[in-house]
Formats: sequence, C-alpha cells, structure tokens
Amino acid sequence: MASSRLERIGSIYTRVRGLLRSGALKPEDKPVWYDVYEAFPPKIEPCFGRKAPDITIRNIFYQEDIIRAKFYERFGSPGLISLTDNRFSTPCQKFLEKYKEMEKDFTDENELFEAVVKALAEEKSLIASNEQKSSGNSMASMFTSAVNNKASQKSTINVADVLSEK
Amino acid sequence: MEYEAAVKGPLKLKGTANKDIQKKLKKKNKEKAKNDGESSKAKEQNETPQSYKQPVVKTKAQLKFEQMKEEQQKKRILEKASKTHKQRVEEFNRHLDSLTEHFDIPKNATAVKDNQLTDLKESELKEIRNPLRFPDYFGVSNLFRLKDLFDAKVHYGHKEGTLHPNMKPYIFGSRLGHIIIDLDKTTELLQDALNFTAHIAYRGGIILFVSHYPQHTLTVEKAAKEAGEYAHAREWDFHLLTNSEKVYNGVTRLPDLIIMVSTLNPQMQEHTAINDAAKMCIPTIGIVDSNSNPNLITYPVPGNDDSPTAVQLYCNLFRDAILLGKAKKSEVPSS
Repeated sequence: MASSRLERIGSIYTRVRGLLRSGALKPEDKPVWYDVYEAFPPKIEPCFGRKAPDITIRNIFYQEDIIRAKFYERFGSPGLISLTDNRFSTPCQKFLEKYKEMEKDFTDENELFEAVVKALAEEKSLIASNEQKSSGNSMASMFTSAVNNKASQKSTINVADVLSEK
Repeated sequence: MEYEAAVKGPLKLKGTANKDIQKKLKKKNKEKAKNDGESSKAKEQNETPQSYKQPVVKTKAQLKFEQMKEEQQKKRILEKASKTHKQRVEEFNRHLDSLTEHFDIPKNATAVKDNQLTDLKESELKEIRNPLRFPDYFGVSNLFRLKDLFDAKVHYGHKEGTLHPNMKPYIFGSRLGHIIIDLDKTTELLQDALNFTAHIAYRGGIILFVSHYPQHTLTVEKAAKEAGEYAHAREWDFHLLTNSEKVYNGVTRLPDLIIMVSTLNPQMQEHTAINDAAKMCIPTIGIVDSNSNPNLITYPVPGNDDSPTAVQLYCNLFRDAILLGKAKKSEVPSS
C-alpha cells in the first residue's frame, strides 16, 4: 500500500487524503477509519508541531483553606487516611462542619475557632481524645473492620455443604 | 580523427526503430477487424429472420401467468391512486414512530424536510440509516457519567513541574502544586473517542490495546480478550509496525486503531507506538496525563494514567464500546 511515513507533516488524515486525491491510493484501498474520521473529526487536528497555547494555570483555593491550615497547625495530621473510604469524615471535616454551624453566632474569627474547639472537646469527639485511634477512618480501624468482615463471612461457609452440592 | 568511432546522425530513442512496422501492423489489424465486423453483421441478418419464422406458441401456464400479472398490475395502480401523497407521508411517519430510537432520523436532515419520503429509493434509505449520520449511533454516551470518572480518580495529574505545555487547555488548575485535570473536557473527549472506537469495531477494523506498565498488563490484556480484540502490554519492539513484514515474515495487516492506556513508557519517554502509528497512518486514542504530549495522538483523552482504578475504568469503557459496535454489526449485516 502506498503511504507516507513523514509523521511530522500534516495529520494522518491530510496525508491519506492527499494520496487518495492523487490516485496513489485507490478508493477501494481506503483505510477503515477514513470515513469515520471525516464524519467525526477530532476537536483539534493531531499535528506534530502544534504550538502550546498561552494559558496560565490557576491555583485552586477554597475559603475554608484558612480554617484547614489553622486546624492542622494546631492539631497536626491524624495519621494515615484512606481516601477511598467515604463512610467516616476526617477530624478536619468534622471540625469544618461544626465551624459552619457556629459561624453565625460569632464575629471574631479567633473567638469562633476557640469556641469550636471547646464545643468539640465537650462532645468528646476525636480531637484531643485517646479514642481517636479506635474509630474513624484511620488505617488501623479499617484493617480491624476488614478482618471482622472476613471472619463473619468465613463462618457462613460450610465445607460439608460445598462438597455435598457437588 | 577522434570522433570517427562515434555514431553519426540523429539520436534514436529506444523502441522507435520499428515504429513504421507497428503502424502498418495496426492498420492491418484494423482492416481485419472491419472485415470481421461486417461478416458478423451479415451473419446476424441471416439468423434473425429464421427465428421469426417459428410460430410463437404459449403454454397454458404461461397464459395464466400473464393474465395474473395484468390483474395484479391493475390492482396496484388502483391502490396507488386511492391514497394521496399526504396520506402516504403520514403512514410512513407512523411507521417511523413505531421504530426504536436507534433508527431515529436526524431532524435537520434535508432529505426528510421536503416530505419526499415516499419517493425514497433503497439507496437513499440506506444513506439515511448510515451510522455516520448519527451523532451517537451506538449510545456510547450512556456508558459513563462524570461522577464515575471522579470516583475512579481520573482528575489527578502529576506535579506542576512536569506539566507538558500542550496539556494546558485540558487542565482545571493546580491544587497545592498538583495538577487537577478538567473532567468536563475529559468527558467530552472520551465520548468522542468511544464513539470512534465503536464505529471502527462496527466496520470490522482491528483494534489494538497498548500499554507498557507492568502493573496494568493483566487489566489491559483481559479487556482486549473480552472485547475479542488484541493487546500489546509488554515491551514494545521499535519496528513492530514500521517493519512488520520482516518481523512477521510476510504481509501483515496492521491494526486499524490503537488504544494507548498510557502514552509514556516506564522511562517517562514518549511511547514509540505513537510515532510509529502516525508513520503508518493508524489513528490512535491515548489517555494523556498532565506530563504527556497529546500532539500526535488523534483522539487524546486527558486523564490519570497511573491509578489502577482509572485504568480499569478506561479498559471497561473501551471494551464496552467495542462490544456495542460489534453487536450492531451482527444486528444489521453491513453491505
């Protein structure tokens, strides 16, 4: 089959189109993808020397980031967190929820922050308590829950039943 | 003198020496042909009157057949005359309504506008049913939603320092030094890529999955196997496409579409298959992470190419698109 191996000139479509127009490639030898490409061309033509657009990458920030920063500065990281597990919220998320609840009652930010810390401590929540490790979505708790799940599953399977079915 | 040995006279081109002889030969041939033609015509004239001499006798069955034919024709004409053009159009529209949505005719189609549906020939109907006229013939847009991409961590890019400048249009922003990919754009481009894949599968093209990450080998090969297509998830030999005839000892049919699950090799260089596919005029679909070059890839899909969840999602989607295309192909045998 006739073809051009100059991948830096034009795109695959323009090269094949040229071959078809000149007759070097017969219409019956047209590649399978040619008509599909014509009907659904890519958004940007795939050319080798395409120049990069002049776009500045913006930074992603949220308003809560300031509170988050303050929280982590005071209490540090809670240890390993599994991002795939959405069953429990992290200490920081709990803090933020409480913060939003109490936001209306205070005008000063520092006062509000301290009040939230106090309220959460009173609730005996995760912050500054020793129970932090036993609950929540820390890796240790996930492991224990997984082991428990497996144990419960194991007990339901009876070897005799499996054998008798066969 | 020095030039005695040289040939004198005008230069002669090869093959012109016996031109005159050829001309004579041609003339002779023409004359022969004329004579033959005349003789054959004369023969025909002799033959035709002979056939007329024989009396035409039709059997009973033949007569009956002709009678029936005439009656049926009369019936057909009456039937046609009983319905107006408008009625026929309405009937056709009712027939179209009873069909499933896959046979929907695009509303802006010019052929339909003029209410000439009744006069459509078979070839024109075929043109209307042509899958390429539908924006989403195989329904690939129903295969996934943006939330699925988010759950599979498709939006995570690499660090800001490794960003490829050509990837900038597909980037949402930078979160504390990590690139986040714009999933709105990914959705759009992934749908295009899936649609293209389904069309290639529908047309009976060969599709090749390519990856070079050892941890994704099994996923990619499994997806290709389930789709009934091919995979190359091992080390890429640099002349597999460009010198295939030597490598495989014979004329080889190359793939019609290459799906690259990751466009970089483990050495963080561009995968050789991208260049080679462009050389051999094979379209490519590639998952491009924030540090890859999307220029040579025909249908780039910006997304995370490292996480197993994301790779699994891509493999499943492309497998399903191929299966959709193949299902349609077995439904309606393409001509």
